[in-house]
Amino acid sequence: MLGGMLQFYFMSIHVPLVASLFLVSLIVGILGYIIHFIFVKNTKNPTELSLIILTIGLAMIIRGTAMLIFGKNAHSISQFLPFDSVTVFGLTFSSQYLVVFIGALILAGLLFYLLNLTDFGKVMLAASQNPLACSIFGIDVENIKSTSFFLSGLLGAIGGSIIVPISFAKYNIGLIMGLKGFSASVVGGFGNNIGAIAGGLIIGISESLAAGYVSSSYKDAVAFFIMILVLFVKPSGIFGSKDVERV
Amino acid sequence: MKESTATYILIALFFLSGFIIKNPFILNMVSIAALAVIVAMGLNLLLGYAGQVSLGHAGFVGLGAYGASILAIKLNINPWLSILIASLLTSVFALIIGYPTLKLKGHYLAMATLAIGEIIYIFANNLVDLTGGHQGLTGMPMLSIGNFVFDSEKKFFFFVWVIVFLFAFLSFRIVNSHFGRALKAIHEKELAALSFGVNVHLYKVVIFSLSAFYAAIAGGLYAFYIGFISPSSFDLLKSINYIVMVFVGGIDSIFGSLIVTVVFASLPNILTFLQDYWPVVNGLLLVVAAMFMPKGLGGFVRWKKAIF
Repeated sequence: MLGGMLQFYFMSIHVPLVASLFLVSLIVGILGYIIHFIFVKNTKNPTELSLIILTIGLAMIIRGTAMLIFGKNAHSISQFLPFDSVTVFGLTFSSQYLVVFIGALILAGLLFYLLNLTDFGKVMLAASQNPLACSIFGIDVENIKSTSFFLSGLLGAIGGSIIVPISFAKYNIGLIMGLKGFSASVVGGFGNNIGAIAGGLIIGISESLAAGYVSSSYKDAVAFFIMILVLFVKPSGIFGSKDVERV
Repeated sequence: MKESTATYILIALFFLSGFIIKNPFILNMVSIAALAVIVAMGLNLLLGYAGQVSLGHAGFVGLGAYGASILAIKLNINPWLSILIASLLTSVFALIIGYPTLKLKGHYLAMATLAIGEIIYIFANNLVDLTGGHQGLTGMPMLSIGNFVFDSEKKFFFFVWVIVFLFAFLSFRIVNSHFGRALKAIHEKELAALSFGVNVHLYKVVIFSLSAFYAAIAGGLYAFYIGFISPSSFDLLKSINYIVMVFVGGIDSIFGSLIVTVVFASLPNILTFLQDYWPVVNGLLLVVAAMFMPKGLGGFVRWKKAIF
């Protein structure tokens, strides 16, 4: 959401496209870093529950502030590419979809490279699995954590700024989008990039089918239905990762 | 003093204040706050005793409200009975949602309930024939016992505090039972509870369903008291409000969340000029509470412990 709103802001003061994309992702990434540095690190009794409550609180603050600054209306943003629509195999669609599609592919590729093929990525995975063991091996777990906060802010902001020409920028678009992202990763299986992409495709396609065959007003409910169905049938997701522990 | 005694005294004081307060606006405000207290007590059981977050409690309140109203209006069922049926249906619904999600480690329930809350909101908005859509639903009959009708703010005020007392009593009975102590053990150390033979999964599902029952009862009473419900009363922001009330009040302190809930449910009606700032204020409160007082305000009070 913040990515989208900032993108709108920079575009409205006529910052060039590439520069504004860069600025937006950097700002939100740094904000993620600051959130970890100031809030998460200084929490007195960091149980899982209090950290969740903390992040809900922060989300409310950001959302509320955005509403106060940018107002409650949706803002429209021009498309990134100079031409309006593209035609592929006889299907015509808005050029922004092309940007989103290619952007998603590039980001997924980069993330895959970072997490699976570099030392840093392996350290990150190790730190998430067993922080204590990592710190025994001399890895600065706190540093890893702040970096991952930075990265998640960065990715979220890029996602937000390339989707707003389609969805419009509004203070509350983040929630539904974040929820759908979560449903996609549940459906595909946590900790599994290919699963996340497949989950996203499954949810997106079934949403469009539901909008066409049932009713477009229930479009948003479909993603959640599928998520709950998957949680029921195969909680580890379709591409089942082993990370999900059962009680 | 024991926490339960203090809570009962506080509820009695609220009940008695009904004889002094003449202003119908304040009576109305405190009655609605009392309904929020019922929801908060249910959420407190889930947060404080099972250590799970529900971000969709307003959805359960809505389910209770819409369910009871639809049963009463379309099927002409007695209001009391329809509140009960709707609440039982809601808790069965929560059981169905909780069963798969609570099996998983981590906080899947938070996300699943967030999704459920949104789904309920979407359906309340779009099933226009049944719920009246965003225009809202009206035409519920008044609650009554025999010939005695709860038609004034004052009558409902006394009634609702009696209900609050009943639910507080139920809460304390649960907390101080074998079941409650098992839940407490789960919250402290799940593995230890498991090795003492506590069926962790079953207990969590039951407490989740019970807290949905609390919420639905409050929703049903709200619908019949106000006589008008619309989806905007049951959206995500309301769910977050309930979390703020419980968390700032103290997650395992029923007394603390009672006071904080009455204050927080009333304040927006008094400070109406601050309306747009409430999300930010709520967020700040959550951040401060999570960072510096993990036990909430109620954590500062030392209660005399009951000896089992």
